[in-house]
Amino acid sequence: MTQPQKDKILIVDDEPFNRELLVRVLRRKYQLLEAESAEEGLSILSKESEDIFFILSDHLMPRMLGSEFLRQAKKTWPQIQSMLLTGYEDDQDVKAVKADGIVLSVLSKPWQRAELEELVDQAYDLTHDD
Amino acid sequence: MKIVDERSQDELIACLNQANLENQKLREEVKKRTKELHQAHDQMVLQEKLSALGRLVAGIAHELNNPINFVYGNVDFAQKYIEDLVALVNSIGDDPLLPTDIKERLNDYKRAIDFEFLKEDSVRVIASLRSGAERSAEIVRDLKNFSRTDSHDYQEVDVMKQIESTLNLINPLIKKRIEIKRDYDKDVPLIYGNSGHINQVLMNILTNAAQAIEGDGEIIIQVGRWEDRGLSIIIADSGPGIMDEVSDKILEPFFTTKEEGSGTGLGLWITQNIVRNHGGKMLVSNRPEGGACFEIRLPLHPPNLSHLKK
Repeated sequence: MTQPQKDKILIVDDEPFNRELLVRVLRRKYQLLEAESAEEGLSILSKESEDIFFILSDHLMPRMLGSEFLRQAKKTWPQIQSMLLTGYEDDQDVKAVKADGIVLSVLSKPWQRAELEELVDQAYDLTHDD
Repeated sequence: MKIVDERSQDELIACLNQANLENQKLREEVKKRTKELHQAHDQMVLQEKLSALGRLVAGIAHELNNPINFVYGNVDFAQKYIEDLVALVNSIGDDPLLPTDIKERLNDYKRAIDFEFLKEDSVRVIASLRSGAERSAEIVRDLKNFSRTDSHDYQEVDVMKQIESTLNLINPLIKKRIEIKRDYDKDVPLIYGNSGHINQVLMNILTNAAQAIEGDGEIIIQVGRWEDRGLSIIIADSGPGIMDEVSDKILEPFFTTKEEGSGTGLGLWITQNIVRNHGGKMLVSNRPEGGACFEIRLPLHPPNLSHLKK
């Protein structure tokens, strides 16, 4: 049996242009999976969690907030790291997921490409010790 | 009998006078209390309005964040893609093995689309896209900073950073006609306060200063220590200054010297209240060389927090 690849990143954002941009930035280094809602994100995770090492999620999305989604994801798949990309850095829920250690970091929108790439690379190193 | 009557009449009059006096005192007291009540009510209504405005501004700022994010983030890619495509076209054209007829067709096509101009101009197109995106991001950042009035949370406030944000926001008032002179001490401490409210203070005073200056002029901003208790912000302008006959009234609510419709007359009154709530002081004067001078002194820590929630 082959070892899981663990080099996939799940992108969750209801804004397609933001997802496109993230794919553009990361496509050369990583395999990317896209979800347009937290629900779709959870469904992808339940199928492919073995291969996913990182989740990049927006915060303000209809039905389920990114912070809540990442909390749920952490509970079921604690080995997967995550990051929130949001303009709502001051939001109580956003501050809480950071303080509770649910996410690796919170990146403010509009984010800088170099900073994003560095944080993703760090997450890769963190999850690929072996 | 008559004497007694006269005496009791005198006593009665004295009694009446006393009662009148008491009455007068009470009436004045009621008047004073009613005025205070009205002022408190006005302040409450105003704070409600300001916090609704703050929520609206914050909402707009956040909605703009997504489009700014992908415009900003895509500029680099647009630039890289154009550079790569130009390099590709050049390398094909320069290839010595390229058959002559194809080379001619390529040159015809390049002429038709004005390739040389397009190549040069794309650099400018990208630069202006980038600058527009950066400026929009800056505006949103300022709006977000400004609208942090919704919470009663106290946090560390970097006054100098907030002064710069406010200056950016009122830039249309300043433009090229007003020179801003900054004189900041090196080790100005952070203070503990309500960042949104302190923004309001800076906004009110800086806007007044800019509006007071007709034509060209200057605004001098000094930030330094207020003894060892906190910090002092001095904002002075080269406008006409505060006229003697209104100097007593400028801190009263609804007093304004601005044209009807352009000032609520509440700005300085709110400013003073915010400064007081932070346990600070506001001093108003005229500069010897002309122009108004406002000094805000804020302690490092605001006093009793429960006092604000009353």
